Amino acid sequence: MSDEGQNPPLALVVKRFKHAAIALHYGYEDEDEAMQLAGIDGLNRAIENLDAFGTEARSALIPLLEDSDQVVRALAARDLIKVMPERALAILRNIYLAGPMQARLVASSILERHERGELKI
Amino acid sequence: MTGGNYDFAVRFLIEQFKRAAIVTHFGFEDEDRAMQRAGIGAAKRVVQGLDAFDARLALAPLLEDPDWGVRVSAAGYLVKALPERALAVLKEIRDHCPTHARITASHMLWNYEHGELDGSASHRIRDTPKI
Repeated sequence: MSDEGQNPPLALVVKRFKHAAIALHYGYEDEDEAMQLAGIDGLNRAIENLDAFGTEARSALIPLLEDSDQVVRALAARDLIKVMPERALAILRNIYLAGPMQARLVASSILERHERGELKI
Repeated sequence: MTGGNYDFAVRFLIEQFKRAAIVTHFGFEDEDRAMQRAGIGAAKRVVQGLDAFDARLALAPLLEDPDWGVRVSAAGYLVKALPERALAVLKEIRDHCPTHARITASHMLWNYEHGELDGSASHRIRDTPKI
């Protein structure tokens, strides 16, 4: 990675977040562990980078709540729970009830961990 | 082998190839080696699967895919089977693509011209310039 000692621009971090979420989605779809791990690492890095911009920066993920890929939407909602809990949780519940299979599994896992207080946000 | 199962298997492999190519391309765009490695590994496995069916040419429609990353990956794996079309696609991407697929196409063309691209390994993990 190139982010040695400097944070990449905000728009780039959001783009990387989306790419990582899609990689994770594809990893689930194809049962490809390397792709899942790459996606998870990418998401963690993107969130670290976003948080380095300050408390307001997670709002940059809001446009992803309407992404056409519902796994992207669910993961953006997860990382927006502390910014806008009502909207983020409503989106997760909708995906859990009516989304495609992989997205439902992601939303369900996030909601369960949230309800148990185990979600690191 | 032909028929329903064959068609289904090949269609599934082509979808997997597209996903692998997209992730590889993200890896190059984002300078993310884990993503590059995952995408490249997945694409290689898919191509091995296609070759087991003697069906690599099923990648040909991907030469017209709207995604630059899918097009460049497909072209890399088709240089031996469809050299004229694949090389034309690589040159078009090298000359006109606004994304990192342009660099991938340049690498592939250079490797092809130096006898190092035979259609069996289309990508190498690489670092890109720092932001």
